[in-house]
Amino acid sequence: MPPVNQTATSPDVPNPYRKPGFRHDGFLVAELVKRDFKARYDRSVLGMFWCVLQPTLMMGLLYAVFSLFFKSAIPNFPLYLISGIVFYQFFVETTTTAMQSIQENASLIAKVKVPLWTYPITRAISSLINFLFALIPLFCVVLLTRVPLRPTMLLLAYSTVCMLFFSLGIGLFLSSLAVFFHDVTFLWGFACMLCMYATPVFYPEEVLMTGHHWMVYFNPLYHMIHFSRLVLNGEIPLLTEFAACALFAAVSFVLGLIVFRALKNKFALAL
Amino acid sequence: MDTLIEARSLSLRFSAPTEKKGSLKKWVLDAVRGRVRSRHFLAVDDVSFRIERGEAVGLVGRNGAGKSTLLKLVTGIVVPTSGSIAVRGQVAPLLALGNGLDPTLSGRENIYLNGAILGYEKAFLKAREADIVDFSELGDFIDAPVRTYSSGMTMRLAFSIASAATPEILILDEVLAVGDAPFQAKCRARIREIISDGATVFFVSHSLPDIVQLCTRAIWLAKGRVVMDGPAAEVADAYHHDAVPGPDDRESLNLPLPVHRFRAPAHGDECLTIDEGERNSILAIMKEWEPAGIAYRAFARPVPGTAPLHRFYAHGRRSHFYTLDPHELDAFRTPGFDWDYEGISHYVYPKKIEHAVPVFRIRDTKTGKFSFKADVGRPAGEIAWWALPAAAGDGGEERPPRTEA
Repeated sequence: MPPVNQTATSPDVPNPYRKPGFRHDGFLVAELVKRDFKARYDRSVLGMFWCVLQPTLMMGLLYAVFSLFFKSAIPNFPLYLISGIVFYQFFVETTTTAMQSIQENASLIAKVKVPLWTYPITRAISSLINFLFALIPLFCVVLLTRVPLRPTMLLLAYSTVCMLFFSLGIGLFLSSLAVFFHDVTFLWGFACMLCMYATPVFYPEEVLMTGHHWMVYFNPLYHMIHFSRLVLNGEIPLLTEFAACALFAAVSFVLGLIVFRALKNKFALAL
Repeated sequence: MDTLIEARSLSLRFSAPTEKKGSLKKWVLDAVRGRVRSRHFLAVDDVSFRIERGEAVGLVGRNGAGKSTLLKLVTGIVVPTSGSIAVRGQVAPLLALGNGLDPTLSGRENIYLNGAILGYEKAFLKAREADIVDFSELGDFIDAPVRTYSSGMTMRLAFSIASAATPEILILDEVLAVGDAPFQAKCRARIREIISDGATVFFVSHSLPDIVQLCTRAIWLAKGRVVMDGPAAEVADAYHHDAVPGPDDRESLNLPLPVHRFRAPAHGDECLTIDEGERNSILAIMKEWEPAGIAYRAFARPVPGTAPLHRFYAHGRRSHFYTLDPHELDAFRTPGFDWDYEGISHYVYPKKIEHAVPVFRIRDTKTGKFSFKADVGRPAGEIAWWALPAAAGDGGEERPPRTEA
């Protein structure tokens, strides 16, 4: 039998345990994100390439449908379409995966003390990485359609961060709710569909502007996607447009966090 | 002294809904009607204790007594409804071996993932990686996905990761039944090592011998309340007598030399047949048999080839014996009766005799032959049996049974 010699806490061995507090949990989040990716692309031939392929295929399909069958009047429709899709997908993926994060880790949560916020945050970070990969086909379209690269495009980072916090807020809220009511999971699939039609992802913004202003102004997704399209076209958004994105992101994130914090102590018992 | 864990009138109330799954519609409807029906009960009810540094505390109690919930309160997974729990020091929860393992990742990748979940530093895992692999005895399999592992291999990996560090407070919830017998022995050795390194241990087990051997103190819980808190052997003894009522036969271990003695059988081998005439005899399974997974099956065979009528498991090592009472013998006479024993009637603690032995005593056999069969596992020791003096008790000689095994 091999020797039992796992102890020997010799002086050269670093301190085994992390300090408490979220600043020290980066390693955990990194490992969980790594797991997310490895598990997702486990046993797929193309692996991580799917991160790029998925939005490309989706855009290709929608582009085919909308440019060939319904003549779209939008200038540079491919870019319009892919920017909409990429951001919309980012939103859907973040909210949906974050929503399921608590339920899916139920067995772990009931047994091991891990800061609960790491689960939804991990999902948000995974979605962010996926989103960054999806920017590759987006910029391919930029280059192919001969849109000049402009410094305003750096502002995409702003709308990305806003979208991240906005989605994470919703994800936190939904994940806490989904622990108690599984119905939320099903409803959210429907809600995402609704968002897609209520937001000018593949149809021109003018469609809503005629008589449906409220649908536009109170639609956070519209503001963030609109912002991204502006900066891609080399325009600097208005201050109100900056503010709208930040406001929606902040409100969603804070509310999500409040709900999550209020309910998190009940998770282990409810799961 | 240095108090590491202090619980003050700790209570946890469960609100179990009367119907199983929550649905939003139902909840809203019920809330509107003003009745969200749920059944409240206290899983942990006004529990207070202090655990000092270096203590090893066992937690005993029946299923549903609140043991696991109490551990969850200590680890902070669950927040108490009332009362308070103060824990000072790094807690390593071995509550759920293998729960943090991801089947799609390789064993090596899981060391980092599971290690991160258990609260380790990355640098520590890097330094300890080789040791963890060694301890798990997985060899080259460490780079294969965990989904290809057998359950024993998975548990070995999980235990190796979980026990890599010496925490200040170690929480063990029935984790000793890991892997095969040699690995279990290794686990026990490792846990002893952690204890001797000065860790404070909080340990739940249904195996009283483990409690008695590993712990200095035990707390007995019933229905969420502390029934008894004291030295491990005393609490285990009291708990055991409460859980399994029966005569106290520990004194009968001062046994004379055995009448018969033979090698323990391999799996499935029949080892002993007691004849009708041999009343008042004791069958003892001697020391040095394999720790867990040995079951001896007693057959009453008035008709050859009938189903086993009685079966009991001698699990744990060296430290308990079994006594068959007259009312249990009645069970033998019931055709087709097949009876599993999980807990064995009496536990004997090593303090009294050198090798406590599981004993099977047949007091009054009026029916035919009884035979014993090794059902699972491979006992390494020896089996002996004694004829008990007719005076229903001791042989008088103050001598433990001897073996050459």
